Amino acid sequence: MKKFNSYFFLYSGLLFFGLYGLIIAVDPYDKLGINVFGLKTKAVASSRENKFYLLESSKDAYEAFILGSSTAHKYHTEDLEALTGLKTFNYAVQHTTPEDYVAIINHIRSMFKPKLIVLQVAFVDLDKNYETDKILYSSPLKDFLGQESKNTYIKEDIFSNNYMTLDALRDTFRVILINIAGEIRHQYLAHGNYIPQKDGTGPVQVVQFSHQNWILDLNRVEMLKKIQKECKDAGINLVVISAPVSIDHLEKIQADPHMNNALKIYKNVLAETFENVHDFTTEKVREFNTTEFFGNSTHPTRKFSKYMLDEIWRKK
Amino acid sequence: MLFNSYIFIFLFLPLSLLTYFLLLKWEKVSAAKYSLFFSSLFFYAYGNVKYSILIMTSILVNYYISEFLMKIKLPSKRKALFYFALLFNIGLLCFFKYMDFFIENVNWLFGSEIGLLKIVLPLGISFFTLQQLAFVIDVYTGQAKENKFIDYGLFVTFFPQLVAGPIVHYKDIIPQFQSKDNKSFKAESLSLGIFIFTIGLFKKVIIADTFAPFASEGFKHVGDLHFFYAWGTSLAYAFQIYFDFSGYSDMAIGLGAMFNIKIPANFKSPYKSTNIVDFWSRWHITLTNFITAYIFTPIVRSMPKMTFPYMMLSMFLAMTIAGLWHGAAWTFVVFGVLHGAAIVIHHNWKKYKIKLPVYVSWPVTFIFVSMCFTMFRAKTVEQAWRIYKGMFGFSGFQLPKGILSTELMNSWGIKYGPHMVNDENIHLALIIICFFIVRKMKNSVEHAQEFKRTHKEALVTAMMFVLCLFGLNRLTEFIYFNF
Repeated sequence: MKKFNSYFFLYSGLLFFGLYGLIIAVDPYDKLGINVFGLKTKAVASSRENKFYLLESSKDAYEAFILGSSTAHKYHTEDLEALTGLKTFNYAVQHTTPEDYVAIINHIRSMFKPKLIVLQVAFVDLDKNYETDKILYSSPLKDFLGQESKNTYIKEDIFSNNYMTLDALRDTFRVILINIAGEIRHQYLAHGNYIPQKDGTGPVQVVQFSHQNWILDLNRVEMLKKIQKECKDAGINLVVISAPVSIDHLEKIQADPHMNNALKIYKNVLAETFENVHDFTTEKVREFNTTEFFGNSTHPTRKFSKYMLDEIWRKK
Repeated sequence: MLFNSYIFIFLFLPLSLLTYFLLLKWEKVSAAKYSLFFSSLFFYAYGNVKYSILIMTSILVNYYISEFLMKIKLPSKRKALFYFALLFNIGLLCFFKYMDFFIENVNWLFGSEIGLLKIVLPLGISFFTLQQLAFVIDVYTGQAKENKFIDYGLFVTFFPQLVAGPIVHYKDIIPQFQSKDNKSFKAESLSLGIFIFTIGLFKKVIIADTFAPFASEGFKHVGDLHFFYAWGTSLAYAFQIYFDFSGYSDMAIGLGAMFNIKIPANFKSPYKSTNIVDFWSRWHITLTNFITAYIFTPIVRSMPKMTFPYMMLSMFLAMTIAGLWHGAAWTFVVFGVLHGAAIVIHHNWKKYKIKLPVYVSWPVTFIFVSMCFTMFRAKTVEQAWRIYKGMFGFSGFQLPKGILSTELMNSWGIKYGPHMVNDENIHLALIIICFFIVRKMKNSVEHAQEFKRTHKEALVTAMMFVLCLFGLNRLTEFIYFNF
């Protein structure tokens, strides 16, 4: 009669500590800097680490840089080089906010004397409810954080409840499987370019639609102003692009009064902060409404990214 | 406090169990009961202390009215006291639950602009009010006997069933607290309790909470719901509410078992039902029993004659009231009306010996019930109507991406629709899995009956439990907390 209770507590203890221990050992979100099994890739793309070390180990003297979130992944350095003649590195990383841009520019300037920075700022980047990715604070970029960020990040420890979740459990097993038998995602090639993708012809899926509670983050606006000032003082040509979204995505935003107003605020902030801004969050995207130009509603393909660069440099 | 929280599972529950059984072991029976009573009050008040004042007031008023009813012999005085008790309980419910609904309708009807009171609905008020009403009615009719305050208090506040049922009858609960057999810790009761609690926790945390975002997303975008999305939304909510509510009931039953208290079953595979009467004998069983005994029966007795049409009318009215009990909105009234009408139709078919084969009656019953739950969940009748339109193809027919190849779709002139959430494949897979679970698998009552306390069962229970521990971080309330 007593078997069930004893076994239940025993098995529960073993299972729980076993699974939690596995999650910590795998560290699927790279929050703890642990990699017991020497895994090549983690659940969340380590784009900050990848690009950081790619740049550090490169022998090229880069003069132009492309910054942004994953929405800027598909800018190809060859396309910008063809327009400017400047050796280019694509430093777009996942899930960025202006804190990342400050750190990345600090890193770039610690190694190079850039002449051109193309910075793509997305609508979500200025949303207070869109949290800065905590991976920034455990990545090598943490040593290049702006002064305003140095005191704000919270040190993750192994009892952080980010890892006491089903998602973390799932991603732990996914990371293990991918490392054993799967395809490693988000690989970067020379100069930070993204691995080539096959463009489709189908409809564009609306994704990452999380703007319903958009509130302007004034601290991030200050960071953008700082970026503009530092670039101007250092003689760096800073070209800013508002990250494009597909027409369906844009219309969804415009259909909601709050989001539509937020979009206007975002555009005004960019226009007032930067001297050289190019707005692609417009109706112009209507004629580009297939997966040939947008992999999904927030991620333009190389073709559309090239189109944007061509448009900007044609105007020049 | 939520059952699906770390603080409940690792702090409140072990402490309550330890205190209760230690005191019983030291033969401090009264102290043990009071410890459980105050633990239950603490459980209830966690998060909002004002709630405990309300429930204590309700308990004291009902208990002392019952005491007076048992002592007073004069019929006129007893009647007056009884009506006062009815007024108090129904008045409490009406004030907290229906006042703003009443004001809204007065404003709509008369064009007035009376401000809403915006009263916060106290947790579990519908449940503990019904339980106490049943007790007072039985005292008035001479069916209930005197009880000590602590036994009555425990019957109302016993935390496993306090906030969202099952609606326990005092005849089921009070004798158990008084029984000598239940006054010692039993390892087998703890085992059974853990087993059933874990099944309930799994249903809530792993299944119901996974469906929740799909259902919410669908109800947020009723204008965009084409055929497949409308069905996906309706089914998602039908499964969410079932696993959420039956999961809660299982947890309550499991917790009761840990304290040696048998709480009645509330669900017995309702989605296996082949007609609407069968459905209500399997869904929220304790509510059905309450409605039958305390609403339907008095209505029938008040009818001029005991004929079939009057019985049907009584049933219809009882179900409409049951619908309104769920919430203060027209959607709940319509929910009750639909079920009432369906029950009347069923009885008429039975009278005229109309019978559908199982392969027709089951899908008809299930689809009807799902659609009623769509009304139940919708914010307005109009919102539900838009989903129904989608379900019947009046809002267009677009496939979710990935069902067929683009080329084939284009050749047939069918488009892919806009997407609601990113994990459509998970949504579809979960619906298929849940159909299998609700149709083919045993329910928790059946599992409990076959429970043998082996170490294999311990392993399976432990696996489910640990998985749930990882799911507790997505803290969500139970749907029936809103009632």
